[in-house]
Amino acid sequence: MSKTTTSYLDPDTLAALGSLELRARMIVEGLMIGMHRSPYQGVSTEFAQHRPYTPGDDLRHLDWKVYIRTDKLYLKQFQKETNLRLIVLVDASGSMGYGSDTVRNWRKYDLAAAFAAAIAYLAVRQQDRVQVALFDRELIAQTGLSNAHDHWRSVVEVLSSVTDLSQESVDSSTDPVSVTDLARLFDQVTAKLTHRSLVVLISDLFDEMDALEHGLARLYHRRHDLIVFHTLDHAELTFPFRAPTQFIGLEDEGRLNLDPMALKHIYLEAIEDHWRQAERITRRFGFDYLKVDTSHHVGAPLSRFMARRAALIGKGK
Amino acid sequence: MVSVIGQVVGLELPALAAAGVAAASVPIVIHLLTRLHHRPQAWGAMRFLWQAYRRHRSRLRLEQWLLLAVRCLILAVLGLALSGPGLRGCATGAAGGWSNQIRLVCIVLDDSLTSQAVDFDGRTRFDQLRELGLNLLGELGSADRVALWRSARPTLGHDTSQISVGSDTDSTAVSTMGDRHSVARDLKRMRPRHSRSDFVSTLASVMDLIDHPSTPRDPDRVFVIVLSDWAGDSLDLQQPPPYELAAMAKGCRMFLSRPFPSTDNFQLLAASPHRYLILGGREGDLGGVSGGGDTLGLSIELKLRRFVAELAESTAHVEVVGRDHKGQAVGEPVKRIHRWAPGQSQATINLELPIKGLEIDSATGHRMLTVEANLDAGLDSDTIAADNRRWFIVEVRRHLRVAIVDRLAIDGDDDQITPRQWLHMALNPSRVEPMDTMSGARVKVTTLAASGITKQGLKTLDAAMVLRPDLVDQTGWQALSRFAQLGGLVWIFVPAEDTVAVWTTNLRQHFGLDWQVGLEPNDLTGSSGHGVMLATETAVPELMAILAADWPSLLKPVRVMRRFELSVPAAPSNTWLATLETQTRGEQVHKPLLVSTVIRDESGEVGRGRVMLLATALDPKWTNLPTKPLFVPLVHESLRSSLGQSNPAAQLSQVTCGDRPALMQSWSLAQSIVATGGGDIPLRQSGDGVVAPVVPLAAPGIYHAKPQTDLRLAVNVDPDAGNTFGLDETALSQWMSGLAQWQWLNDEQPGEIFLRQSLVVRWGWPLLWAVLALVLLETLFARWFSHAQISERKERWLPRFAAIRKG
Repeated sequence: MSKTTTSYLDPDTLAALGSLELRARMIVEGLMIGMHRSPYQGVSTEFAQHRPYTPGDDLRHLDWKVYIRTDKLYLKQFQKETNLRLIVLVDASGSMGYGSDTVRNWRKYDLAAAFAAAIAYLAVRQQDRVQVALFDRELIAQTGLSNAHDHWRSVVEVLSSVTDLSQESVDSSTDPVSVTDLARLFDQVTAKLTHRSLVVLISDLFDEMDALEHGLARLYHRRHDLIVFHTLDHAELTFPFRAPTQFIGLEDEGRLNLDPMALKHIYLEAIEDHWRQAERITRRFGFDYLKVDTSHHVGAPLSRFMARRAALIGKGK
Repeated sequence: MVSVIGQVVGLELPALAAAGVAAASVPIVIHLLTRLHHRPQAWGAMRFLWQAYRRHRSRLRLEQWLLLAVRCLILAVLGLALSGPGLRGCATGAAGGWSNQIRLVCIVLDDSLTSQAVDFDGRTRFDQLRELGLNLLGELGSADRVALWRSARPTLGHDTSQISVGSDTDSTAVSTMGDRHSVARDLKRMRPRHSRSDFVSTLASVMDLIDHPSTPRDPDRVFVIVLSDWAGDSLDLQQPPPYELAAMAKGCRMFLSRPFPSTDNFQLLAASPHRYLILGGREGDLGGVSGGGDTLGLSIELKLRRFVAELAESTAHVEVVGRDHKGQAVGEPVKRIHRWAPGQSQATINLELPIKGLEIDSATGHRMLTVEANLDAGLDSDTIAADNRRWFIVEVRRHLRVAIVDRLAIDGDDDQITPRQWLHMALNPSRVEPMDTMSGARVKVTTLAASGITKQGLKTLDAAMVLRPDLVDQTGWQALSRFAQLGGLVWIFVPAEDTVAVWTTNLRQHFGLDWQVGLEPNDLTGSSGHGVMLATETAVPELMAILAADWPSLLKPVRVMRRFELSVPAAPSNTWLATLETQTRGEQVHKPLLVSTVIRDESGEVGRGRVMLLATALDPKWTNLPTKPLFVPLVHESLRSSLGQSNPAAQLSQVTCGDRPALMQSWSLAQSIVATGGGDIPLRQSGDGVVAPVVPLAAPGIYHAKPQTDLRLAVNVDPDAGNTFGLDETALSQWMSGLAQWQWLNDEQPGEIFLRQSLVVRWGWPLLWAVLALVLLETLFARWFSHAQISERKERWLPRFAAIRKG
C-alpha cells in the first residue's frame, strides 16, 4: 500500500523512525512524492516536473492549465543549478530536550533535527552549499560549508551527536545545563558569514526577545535572509496538567511546586505573548516565521523553506 | 459559663458535632499531603511558569487559603447541622419570628358548672384555670396561632363562623381563634357556664383542627392544653377513650392541668310536682290539689344531694315559692328544714305548696304557674351556689274536657246502669245529671257518637273514653290516633256485646301498638264462679303513685269474670295499670287487665299522648270494678296523671342548661325567648315546623316567650354537672394514656412547656442550607480560581480577552 504525503510527514510516523537519516529522507520523499524523476529543481526555463501545491508555495509557479483540466493545484518546477549558501542553526539547549510525548520520545530537538536534516538533504541534492550548526550558549558543533554529495552524512552525524542532552538534565539537577543565548549565537554567526546566506533558525527561542531582535537586526543589515522555525512542544502551548506537580526547569531554573490549574491561564497568556512577540519581531525585518508544534505535520515548514529559497534565488542570488 | 451555654445551645447528638469538627481537619491534612506528594515534571518553558507564578503568587496563596477555609467550614457545619442543634431561651416572639416556626396552641378550657366552685382562697376554679391560660398565652409569640375551646356543653367547633360572640358572653358558647392578644381578650370576658363538660366532643373538634391542611405537620409545633378541674363527672373513666382520638398523639403534644382537690357541694337534685297539670276552682279536688275556695295545694317532691367528703350530720333549709305570670308570689313560701343523717348523701322532701290568689285566664281557662325552689345548705363549704335553685312550671286549669264515645241510642233497660253512666258517675262523683251542663265541674263530660268521630270534634278535648270501639269507623280511628299524638288521652273500653272484636285490629294498626288482643272474650269465672282477682303484690304504677298507700286494699275487692285476651310486651312505653292474677297449672300467672302506652307520632318518635285499654267491659257480668272504691280514683288518676305527664309544662320544665329545646306548636307565633333579667334570644322555626332558640340556653331560670308572655320555659342546672369530687389522678392518667402522649402542666411555671419543646429554635435545617450554600461557594471559588475544568467557552474567549486587554 502506497503512503500518501500526509502519512510521510505525520509526526507519529517520523517519531516511529529511529534514525534521523531515515526521518530526513522520509520527509523529503514525502514532500517530493508524485515526481517522475529526480529533483534538482530550481529556477530555470527548463521544465522539470509537476508537484502538488502546498500552502506557502509561490503562486506564480501554479500551472493554471492543469488546474483547469483537473481542478487540482500543481506547481511547475524547473531545473536549475544554484550556489545558494544555506546555514541551518539548530537549538540544542536544555529546553529543546523537552517532549511531552514520553511514549514516542518525540522531543522538540528531535523535530528540529529532522527539519535540519531534511533541509540539508534537499539543499545538497540541489547543489546548494549547506552548513549545519548546533548551539546553546554558543555554537557547540557545526559542519563545514559544502555541497558535496557525502556532506549530508556529516550533517546527520552532527545533529545526532546531542540527542540525549535534555533527558540527562531532567534526571539529575546537578548535571551542567545548556542555556540558550541568542545574542552570543548571532554574534558568532554574523562574524562567520561573509556572503549573503539563507539562515534557517530552528529553536524554541527561550531567551530574551531583545537578544533575538538585536540578532535579527544584524542579519538584516548584512542582507542575509532568515527563516525562523519556532519549535514548541504541544504541552507547552496547552499546559494540560491537573494534578499538583513539581516542575523542574531544564535550563537550571530550579523547581516549582504548583497546582497547575491555578496558574494555567496566566502561563498560557505568557507563552502566547512570547511566540507572538517572536513572530512580530521576525516579520518586522521581513523574515519568515513559522511556529512549529511537535504534534503538527512537518509539510508546511518544508514548503515554506522551499518557497523562501525559490524567492531568494529569484531575486538574483 | 459553660453551663449557661449548655442551657442555651443544645445538641441532640453531640458526637456528630465533634465528628464534624474533627472532619474539618481533613482538608488541611489533604492539603499538607498534597504538598508533600507533588509529581515531578521536567519542563522546558520554565521561565514563563516562573514569570506567571511570581506575578500572581499572593493571589494564589489567598485563593488557596480561602478554598481551604471553605472546605473546612463545610465539614464542620455539616457535622453541627446533623447533630441537631437547638437554641433555647430566646425571646419567644423573636425566636418564633426569626425561625418562621409558627406554632398552633389549642387550649381547652373547662367552664363547666364545677368550675364555679369556690376554692379555699376565695377564687373560683374557673378563675384559676383562666389565669393559667392567660399565663400560657403570655409565653407565646406574636406569630403563634391560638385556638380556644370551652368544654362545657354545648361545644362548638373551631370555625369562627359558628360562633356568636356578643356582649353577653354568658349566653354564648365562645370558642375563638386568632393571635394571643385577641384570644386573651376573649378569655378575660368569659364566665363559667352551668352545664357539664363534654371533653370527648371538644377533643374531637380539636382533632379536626389538627387534621386541617393548614395545621403544621410537626408535632413539636402543635400544642393541645386542657385546663380543667377534672371534676367527678367530666369524664367517664369506665369507658375507654374513643379510638378516633388516639391518633391525636401523632400530631401534637398534649398537656393537662392537674385535678383539683375535692370540695363540698350541696344541691337540689330535683324539684318536681306530682303532676304538671292541676285543676283549680271553688270546689275540692282529687289528687295533687287540695283545699277549698280559691286556694290550691300543689304536691311537690324535692330531692337533695350532697357531695361531701365526710357525710356528717348537718342541716339544710329549703324554701319553695310559686309565682304567677307576672312574677308575683301566689301564696306564702313553704320552708322546710332537712337534717342530714350521718352517711346520708341524698334525701327526698315532699311538701305541699299552697297556691292562693292565682288568676285563671278567663279566655283560655288556664294559667302557667312557675315554682322556684331554693336550698340553703347552711354551711360555708357549699362551694357551688348555682345548683341550689331549681324551677318548674305547672299548668293550672279550671277543668278538664272529656268525651265519652258511645252509641247515642238509649238502652231500654232502666234497671241496669250503663257503662256510660258508670263513667259519668266516676268522673263527677258529687254531681247528678244533667252532667253536660255542670258549670262548676272539675271534669266537663260530653258524649260523642261512636260512628261520628272527627278531628274537629276532638280538638277541644283532653281525653276520649271510647265505650263502643266496635262502632268507630276508619275516620274515627284516624281522628283518635291523631288526637293521641297531639297529647290527648284515648281510653278504649271493651264493649259488652257478644260480637267478634274486629275493632282490635284497627286499634293496633292506627295507634301502632305492639299489643296482641283476642277477638273473643274469655270466661274467667271458673269453678268458684267469682272470677279472677287483681294482683295486689305488684308494684304501684307510676301513674297511680298518689294512691300508693291504699293501692293493695283498693285492688283487693275487684273481680273479673270475663276478659279479652291481652298480651302487652314489656317496654318502657307500656305500663300495666291493673294486673290479673291467675293460676295456670299450679303456677301464678299475671295478665294485664288495664294497660297504658305512650304512642309514637308520625315521625316514629315517642309522643306525648297515651292510649289505654281496659280488657273487660263495664258490665256486672264482666267485672265488679265499677261498683268498687277503686273505680273512681282509677279513672281520675289515669286521666290526670296521663294528662299531667303529657302536659307541655312537663317538657318545658325539663330543659337543662346548654340545651336548645324544641318547642311545641304553640310557640310558633313567638318571636323570641327572654330570660328573667336577660336579653332576647330569637326563636327560629325550622323547615319541619320545630321552633327552637338560635343559641343554646346557657343560664338557668324562667324564660318567657315574647310577645306571648304566658308561654313559659324552665331551664335548670344539670345536677350531675355539680359533682365536685375530683377524678383520681392515677385513673385519669391511665385513661389519658390510651388517648395521647401527654404530660401534666406545671402550675407554677406553665410556660416551660414552650421553653422545653418549641422555644428551642432548631438550627439543623438552616445549617444544612448553609452547607449547601458553602458547597456552591466552594464550587464557584474552585471554578473562579481555575481549580476546576474550564469550560470550552472560557477557553475560547480567554485569549480574545487577553488580546483586547493588550490593545
